[in-house]
Amino acid sequence: MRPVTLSPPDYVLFGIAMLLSAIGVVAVYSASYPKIAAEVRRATTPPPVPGQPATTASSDIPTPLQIELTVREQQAMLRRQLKWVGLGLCCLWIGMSLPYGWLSHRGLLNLALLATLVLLALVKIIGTTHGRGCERWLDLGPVTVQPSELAKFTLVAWLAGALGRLGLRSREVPEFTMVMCVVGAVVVLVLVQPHLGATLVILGAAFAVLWAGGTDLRHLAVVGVLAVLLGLLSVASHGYQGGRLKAWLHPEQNQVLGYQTVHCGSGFARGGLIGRGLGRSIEKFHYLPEPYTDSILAVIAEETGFRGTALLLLLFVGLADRGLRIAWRCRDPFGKLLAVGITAALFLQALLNFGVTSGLLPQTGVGLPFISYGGSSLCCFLGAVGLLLNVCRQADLPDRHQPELTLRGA
Amino acid sequence: MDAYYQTRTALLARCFLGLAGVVLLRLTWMQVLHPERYENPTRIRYHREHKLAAQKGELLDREGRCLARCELVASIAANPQQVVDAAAAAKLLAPLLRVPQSDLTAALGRRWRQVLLRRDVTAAVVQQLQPLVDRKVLRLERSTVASSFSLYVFGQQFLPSPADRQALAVVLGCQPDELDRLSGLPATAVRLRSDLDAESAKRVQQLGLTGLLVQQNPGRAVVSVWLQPSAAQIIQTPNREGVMTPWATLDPAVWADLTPLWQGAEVPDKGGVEARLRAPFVYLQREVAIELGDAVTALIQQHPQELAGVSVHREYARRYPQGEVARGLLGRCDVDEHGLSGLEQIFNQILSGVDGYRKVTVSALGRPILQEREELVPAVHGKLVELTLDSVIQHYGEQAVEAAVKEFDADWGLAVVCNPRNGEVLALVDVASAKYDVPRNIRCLATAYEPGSIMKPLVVASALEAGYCEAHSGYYCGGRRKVGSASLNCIKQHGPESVADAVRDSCNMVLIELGLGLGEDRLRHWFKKLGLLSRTGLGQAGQEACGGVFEHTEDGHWTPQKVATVSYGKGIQTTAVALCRAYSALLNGGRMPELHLVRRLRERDGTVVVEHPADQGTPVFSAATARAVSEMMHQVVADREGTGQLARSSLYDIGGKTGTSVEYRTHGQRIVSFVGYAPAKDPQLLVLMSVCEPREGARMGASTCGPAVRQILEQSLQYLNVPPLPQAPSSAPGEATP
Ligand SMILES: [Zn+2]
Repeated sequence: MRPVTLSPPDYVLFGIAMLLSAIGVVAVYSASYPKIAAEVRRATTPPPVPGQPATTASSDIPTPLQIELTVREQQAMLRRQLKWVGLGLCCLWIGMSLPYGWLSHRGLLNLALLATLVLLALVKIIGTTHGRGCERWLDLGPVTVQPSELAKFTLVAWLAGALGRLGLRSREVPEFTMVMCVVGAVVVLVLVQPHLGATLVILGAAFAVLWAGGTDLRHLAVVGVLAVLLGLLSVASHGYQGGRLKAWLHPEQNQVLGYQTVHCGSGFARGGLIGRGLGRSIEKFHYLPEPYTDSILAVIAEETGFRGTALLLLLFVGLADRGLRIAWRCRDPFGKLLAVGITAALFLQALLNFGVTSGLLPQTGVGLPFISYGGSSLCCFLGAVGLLLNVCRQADLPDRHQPELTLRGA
Repeated sequence: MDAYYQTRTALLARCFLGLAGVVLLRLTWMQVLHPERYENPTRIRYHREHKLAAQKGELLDREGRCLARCELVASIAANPQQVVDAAAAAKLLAPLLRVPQSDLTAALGRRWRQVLLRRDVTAAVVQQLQPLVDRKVLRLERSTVASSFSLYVFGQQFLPSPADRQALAVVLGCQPDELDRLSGLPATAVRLRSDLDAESAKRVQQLGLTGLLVQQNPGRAVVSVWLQPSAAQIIQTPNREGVMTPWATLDPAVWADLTPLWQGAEVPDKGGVEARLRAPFVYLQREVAIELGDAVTALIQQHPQELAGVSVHREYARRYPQGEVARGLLGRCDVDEHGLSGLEQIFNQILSGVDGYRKVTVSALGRPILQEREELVPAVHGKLVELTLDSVIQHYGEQAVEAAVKEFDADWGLAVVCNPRNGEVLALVDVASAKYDVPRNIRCLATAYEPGSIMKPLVVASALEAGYCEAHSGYYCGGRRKVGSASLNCIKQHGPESVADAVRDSCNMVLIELGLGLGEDRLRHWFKKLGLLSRTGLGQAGQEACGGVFEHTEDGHWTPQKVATVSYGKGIQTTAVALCRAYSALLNGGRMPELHLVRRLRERDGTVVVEHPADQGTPVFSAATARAVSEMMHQVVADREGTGQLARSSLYDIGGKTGTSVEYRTHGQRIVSFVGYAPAKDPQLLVLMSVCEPREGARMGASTCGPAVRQILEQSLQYLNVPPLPQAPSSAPGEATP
């Protein structure tokens, strides 16, 4: 073994991730207030006396007790979110300090992929719906996790490992087909939940890894065309998605499916250039169905305006820039492809959320990385940033498989 | 690493950058360039407006007694959708509300009502819908709709002021001159328009002119289609509190069957029709005592299950604490406290105030968002109107006139009591016999009639002031005189008469002499100066009539006959209040004050907004003329030969003048009047009383109205602590109280 001297981690990337998490804490704190206040009110208001109108003027003003309880609940919520950030930092540290050899270990990668596939299958069998029409969550005692969040990163890691190992051989049909089968399996398992948003992110990230991994463009084109055709077919056959598409084109005409698009748009528009001020969103008051998870960007847009949303976009672009720089610098193909995959997953999910909330894309439920409320996703994303930093620290080391991997060798 | 990989990674970076660029453009578009397109495309209500009701002002009399005010009352209402068992609820409520239990059960149980689907459907559609009618899903209603209105003019009664004529011409869209020709036409009605639309007809009626009649033309038969409550399909759904309640929906099959109905019209929203099927809020009792409301509230708390859906609302209702006193004069308000008649109508605008509102931003659950600033426009409460009326004097007047109308079996009677010194109106009395409807307007203001002989003192004063004669100038009454083509009579042949005697004896011949001597121009001048041909301004147009002289000749001048009759009060019409104003000039040393009803307007906190200014009065006559004529009027009552002896009082020195006229306008309606004042030396009160069509007694002004005026004057002056005549014997008070 040569003596190993690691480069310092990319502090800018770390800083951006921290800044995004901090923004997330503030945004969730603001966006969750109406729901907490409503819950407190429901819990503390005596049941209505039959015969009296249910909403009288007096019940609209919260009692001092209700205000105190709301504040307490909100602080508890803040502490919980901060705790998740702390846990996420641990994940980041773990991701950063895992021995690089373990990361790229073939057996471990296969194991992780297998575990992901099993979890995804389990979701379909024993998953909870969390009150929505899709089975995305897995109840693990104290926490519920969303295996599709995990699937993004295990798939890109496995792909990076496989393509890094295959090298030029990935251009051959059997190998490519084998890789695509794995991708297809994960995608199908996520799609049937159904979780279109996560599917798109996984597909995008996988595509980015395949692209950067040097696969044959013609193969990619064939797969791409196939995917688009399948997508069109599902749009045509599936009423759920079909209605969504119409609601996306004319949200104001569809009271049910267009509702979220319309109210997200209202949030963006009311925010304008400057924003209404922190905490002053109106849409979060039960107009938006998911004010602190999927639609949190609309709340941020309403409170901070174009300034806030543009800054947020810039941060994500900065994140992508740092991630791809690491990939660029990395000499090891596995590290390079892992960096590309993680960056693509993060960036595409952020962009998908931007597109959906601003009405550019039809409604699909994906959270905004680092910002949306949710412990498991925050841990996953920060852990992924940790992996990026890990790759960064190895970046300048010479490639271990250098001789066999030279493209157009000799 | 190989450059090939690096190129692909770099391309990926550019691709990402491009995507981010697209998103940035979208953000710019939405947030900076065109936010208005996205702000609220489905027009959701983010705000709720709560009305802040303006409290209606009070009417007070001159002593601060409240005549009309708003009181807190309770209304008991129910939402039938929430009532579980109508019969049980009715059984609980019936003893409290004192309403038959069956009525309450019906009101509480009426969850669904019929819905008007379409008016005016064609026969073909009716044919197609017949099966649904047979299934009792639909009900057909045949009715007629008014297409237009006709406007008739009765020329002899149609004497509008120039302003009214102008207003009418604007409504009818013609020249005012065109309307001129209609005045004074023979008795038959002329159809002026036959195709007035409803809007114009309403505006014509709002002008409130006499001599106009708006009549609906025969209508056209139409068929309306109603959806029957039995068509509703009742399902059980949870309400907001999660309790299962019945809910009316329409069977899609039934809805489809209705398709032929929508031919040529927009198809209504099914949900909207369903919502209209559900009976809303019904009132079980409105505006009851607040104590009863509290009792019902307590009952609801005792039986929350049985009385679910019943609620008690506190609201304000107009109340008249003085009971029947001035009740007709005050008029009435509709349920929204909008004055419809009487003083309530005249002062509606001042009393009403302006509602304010509180506009709050609400969450999707309808609760206010506390951190959003609310828009608050406070209500401007109505003002307190302090009237010049005295409810005690009003009561005396009402008693006396009512007794007279009853005793003499008359159609109606009116009386005006005012202070001739400053023009304050102390009482406006309107009494109609039972066969007459309660009038919309105050008759003292709204009815212009022939004053008859009570015009004489005014014409005499004009002649004296004009220097045409002296009080002692001698004339001769032959009992009959031919003027122009007409032969005019006196009551009897008086022989030689001075001007003063003519007032005392009410001699027509002397007045004809004076009138002809003054001539049309000077009479017109004096009538105008005395305000007999204009409004007093106590009420607005439509509430107060305007006097006039009718039957002009072609060139607009009076015939000599007209000049002669006008001099003794025939052929001229004016209102009671205008006469009182003119008489005030005689009793106030020749200065005519403006009549007024309002002493001051106050805010609710007591600050005075407007106060009636002290009024010196417009000089009309010299003090000497006024003194001379009032002395003549004193003699009418005081003199042994005076026509007004029946008004003589042992308590106060009363002066006055009688009058009897046979209404020219209304074909022989007899109106008898008496105008009286006291004390004669220093007039404090002026009373004008007129009675229409007395059927009993002598049917003369003196006999019908004289005693009543005396009674009003005696009672009122005693009430006002005016010392009675010193020589009055001790038996006088007994005589004064009837
Ligand atoms: Zn005579």
